[in-house]
Amino acid sequence: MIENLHLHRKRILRCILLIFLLCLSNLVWVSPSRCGFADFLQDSESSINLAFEKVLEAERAGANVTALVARLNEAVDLLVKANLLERNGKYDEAAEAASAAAKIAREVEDQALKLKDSAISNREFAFKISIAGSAVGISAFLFFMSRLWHRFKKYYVERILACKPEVAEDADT
Amino acid sequence: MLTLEDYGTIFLLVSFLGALLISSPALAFILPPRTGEQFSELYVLGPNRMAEDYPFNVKENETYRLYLGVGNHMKSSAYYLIYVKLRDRTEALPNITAGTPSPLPALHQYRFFLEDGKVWERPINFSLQGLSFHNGICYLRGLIFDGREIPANKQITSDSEINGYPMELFFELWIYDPESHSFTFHKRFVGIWLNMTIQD
Repeated sequence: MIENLHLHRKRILRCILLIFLLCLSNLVWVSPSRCGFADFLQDSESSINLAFEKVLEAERAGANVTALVARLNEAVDLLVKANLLERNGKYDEAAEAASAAAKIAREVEDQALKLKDSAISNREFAFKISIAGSAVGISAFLFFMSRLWHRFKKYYVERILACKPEVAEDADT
Repeated sequence: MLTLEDYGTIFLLVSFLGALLISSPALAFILPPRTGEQFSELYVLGPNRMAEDYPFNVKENETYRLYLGVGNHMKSSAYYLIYVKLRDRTEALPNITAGTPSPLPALHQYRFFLEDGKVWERPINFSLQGLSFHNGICYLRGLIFDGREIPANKQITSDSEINGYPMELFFELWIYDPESHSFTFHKRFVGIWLNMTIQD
C-alpha cells in the first residue's frame, strides 16, 4: 500500500517535471522569435523615422511633400496594425504588415531624395534667373535714372539762366 | 526752393529704392525667411464636435464619443504621437514648465504625420469595462478604445466634494525630433474628468 503511494507520488512528480520541461522548452523556443519580432518592428519604425527625416529635408529644399506625407501615414497605420497583431499573437500577419510599412517607408525615402534633388536644382535655376533678371533690371533702371538726371540737370540750369536779374530800388539801403 | 544738390539726393534715393525693389526676387533667395511662432494645438471636443456636452457621469458598457484634434503650426511637416493616459486626483499630470510628461503608463496611442497648416481630427469612442465599487474605492479593469480592449487596472478613491469617483482621461502630445531621432514631449496635454457611476 505504501509502495503504491510512493509510486503514485513519483508518477505525479515525473508529470510535473515533464510539464515544467515542456513549458521551459516552449519558453526557450518562443522567446527568440518574439525578440526577433520586436527587432523587426523596431527596424520598420526606424525606416519610417528615417523616411520622415528625408521628407523634411525635401520640404526644406522647397519640394511639395503632400503625397509623401500621405504615404507615410499609410506606413505608420500599418506599423500600428503590426504592433496590435503581434500583441494578439498573429505573428505572420504582423510580419506582413510590418514589412509592408518598411517597404512604403523605403519608397518614400527614395522619392524624397529625388524630390529634394529636383527642388534644389529648380531653386538654383530660379536663383540664377532672378540674379540675371535683377542685374539686367537694375542696370536698365540705373541707366534710365542717369539719363533722366542729365536731362533734369540741363533743364534746371537752363531755367536758372533764363531768369532775368532785377535790381531793387532800395538796393543800397 | 530746392537746389540742384537737393534734387540730386532725391534722384539717388529713388535710384537706390528702385534697385532694391528690382532685386527683391533675388534677395528673397539670400535672406532667411521669416519663421514666426512655431506651435501645435491640441484639443478635445464633445460628441457634437463642440466644446460642450463632454461626458462626465460615466457608466460601464456605455459608449462615449469625443473628438481629438491636432493643428500643425510648426512651419514644416511634423510627426506626432498622442498618448492616452488615465489618472485619479492623486496621480501626476505632465509638467509643462519643466517639460516632463506624466510618469503614468500610456493606455493607447495615436501616431500620424501632419503637414504645416493642416489639422488632424478623429472621433474617439470609448467605454469602461469591469467597473466595481468596494469600501469607497472604485476598481476599473479596462477600457475599450476604438473597439480595442485595453487593460487599465485602476483604483479610484471617492471624492466627498463631488460625491463620486473622479478620474481624468488625458492626452499627451509628443513630437518627433529629427535631431535626437526620437519622440519628445511637446509640452501640450488636454483632458476631461469622468465620474465613475454605478449602472442603474
